[in-house]
Parts: sequence; C-alpha cells; structure tokens
Amino acid sequence: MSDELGLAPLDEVDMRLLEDLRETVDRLDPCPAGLPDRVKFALTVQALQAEVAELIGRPMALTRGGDEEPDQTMTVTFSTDSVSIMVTVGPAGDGTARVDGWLTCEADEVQLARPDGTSETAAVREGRFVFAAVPTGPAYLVVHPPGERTVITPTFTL
Amino acid sequence: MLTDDEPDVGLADDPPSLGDRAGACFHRYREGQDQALGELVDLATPLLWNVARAHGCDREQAEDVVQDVWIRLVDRAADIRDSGAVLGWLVVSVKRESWRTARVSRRTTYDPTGTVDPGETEPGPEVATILTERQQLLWGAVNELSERCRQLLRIVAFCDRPDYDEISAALSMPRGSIGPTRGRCLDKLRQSLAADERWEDR
Repeated sequence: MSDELGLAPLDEVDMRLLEDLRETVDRLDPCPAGLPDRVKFALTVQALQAEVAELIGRPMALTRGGDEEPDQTMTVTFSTDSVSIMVTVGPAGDGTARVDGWLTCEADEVQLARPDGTSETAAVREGRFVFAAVPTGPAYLVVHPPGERTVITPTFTL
Repeated sequence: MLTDDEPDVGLADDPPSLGDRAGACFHRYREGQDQALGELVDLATPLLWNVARAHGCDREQAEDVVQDVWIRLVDRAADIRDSGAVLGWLVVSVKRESWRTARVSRRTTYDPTGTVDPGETEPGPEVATILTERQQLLWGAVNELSERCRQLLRIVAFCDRPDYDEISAALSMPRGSIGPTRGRCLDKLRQSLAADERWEDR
C-alpha cells in the first residue's frame, strides 16, 4: 500500500523512533486531558442550541479530583435568568450515587447526561426529581422547559 | 533488527488505522447514532491537538482551534461526501485555522524564538525533570531538524501508517512527496542520534 504512493517503507528503527517521539511529546506537551470532554460538551450545547446554566454554589464540585473520597453529600446550584436547578449528590460508596434535584421551571423530565453520550431520564414531579442510583463520574443535566430554550448545566462530578 | 518473531510492517491484517476508525465513527454518527460523535472526538482530538501545536498555536490557542473545528464539523457534516475522509477534513481544517490564529497572534506579540512553536517545548531546564534521558536525547536531536521536519515527524508520530494520505493533505504536499520527505527527516534524525555516543538503539 505504501509503495503505490511512492513512500519509502518504514523499518523497525523508524517505527520505534516515532513511538519514542510520540511518548516524548505526550510527556512534554500533552493534549490537555479534559479537552475531549470539553469538546463534547460544546458540541452538545450546540446541538441542543442550549443555554448553559451558571454554577452558583459550591465551585469545589467542579474542581474536585477523582482521587478524593467522594463520600460526602454535596449540594450545587445552577442558574440561568429564568431557571434555577439545585442538586444534592449523595455517593452510596458502591460506585453509585443518589441525585436529588429541584427545579424552578416547568418541565416533564430531566436528563442526566454523560460525556460519553449516554444519558438517563427522571420524571419531574412538583419541581422535584430523583436519580436513585446512578454510576459516579462526570455528568451534566439537561432540561427542556416547554416552549423555552433548552438549559444545560456545566459538567460536575457525581 | 528484524527477526521471524516480529510482525512485518504493513501486513494486510493490520488493525484498522486511526483514519479508518474515525471514518467508521463519522459514518455511524451520520446514520443517527449521536454517541459515535463522542467516540470520534476521543479518537481524533490528540492528533488534532498536535497538528495545531505543530502549526504555531500556543496551548490555549490550540485548544480553541481544536474546539472550533469540531463545531464546524457538525455544522458542515453534510458537505463531507465520504465519511472515510473525515480525519483528513479535520486535520486540514485544524492546520488552516492554526495558521490563521498563529499569524494573527504573531502580529500582535513578538516571539523571540522565531520558531513555529513559541518556545514552550524548547529544551529547557524543566525538560530534564519531565523526560527520561533517552527522551531528552531524542528531543534534542528532533529540535536540531528543520522546522518542516519537526512539524512532519510530530504529526506522523500521532498517526497510523495507512493514514499518510491525510497527513500529506494536512501539510499541503503532493501525496507522493511525503514519503521521501519523511524518509529524509527520519534519516537525519537517525544520523544525528547515531553520532551521539549516549544514544543506544533499543
């Protein structure tokens, strides 16, 4: 295949040098680890033509690393001009978490979405929604208020 | 050294290349599987990052350029006739946008190194703490090469071999010419390393 393009074939030494170079560049000037997830989030916002809610309370929720024991319940609030969403996340300690949420707008359901594109849906009853046991990890909420712009929260860690 | 135990380079049963896998994801995305777009982002973003960095963007600019090009891909998904060409489309788009971005910033900020890469990855004291000795020797030798070679090798290192069509497009070279150029760059690198007694082939 390379011959028909007039390419000199690579030998073993070339291949190893390129491998070494790749590892070297990855150490010295790595692609930021969060970049693919940020790209995916931007694409979701664009696809939904959504309004991104602002994180109001507990900015620690966004910066909390994976190393820390996620054993504490945390509460975060997200807000746009028209909607506030408050969520309390209580890790169960078995790799799942319970998410209790409250909404200030009309909506039939709330979506809990993941950077990998999967999502789960919970019904909203009187402004309240619950995800009883969802896998821990990065996630964001998507709300479709009828007749209004879709609202999406920044990614937070369950 | 080639032995019978080691697989030959370029067999027909090679695993699918980055370009093939990217094309398959894009095809699935266009068939309506939204998740495939996320897989495509995971696959191609590291290469695109390196294309942007090799074309003069600083880290922040590279991040913006890569993100903008992804958004554009979704906007213009219909314009790409062949799903298999998506990696080439992304690489070319990132290269063009990187040039544009880097040119604008060069006009507004003085870059004392005068290199395509604004200094951040030049060998410096911090390199010794991040890299193994072998990597330091290699990086030193790479930085002795021409700008063209540095660009080419950095990008080739993040591609799979069957994807050179995409690379040649990215670097605006006629398809046949990437091989000899790549060969020359690698030859120079090997000569320079061979002349260094601290370097050992592994």
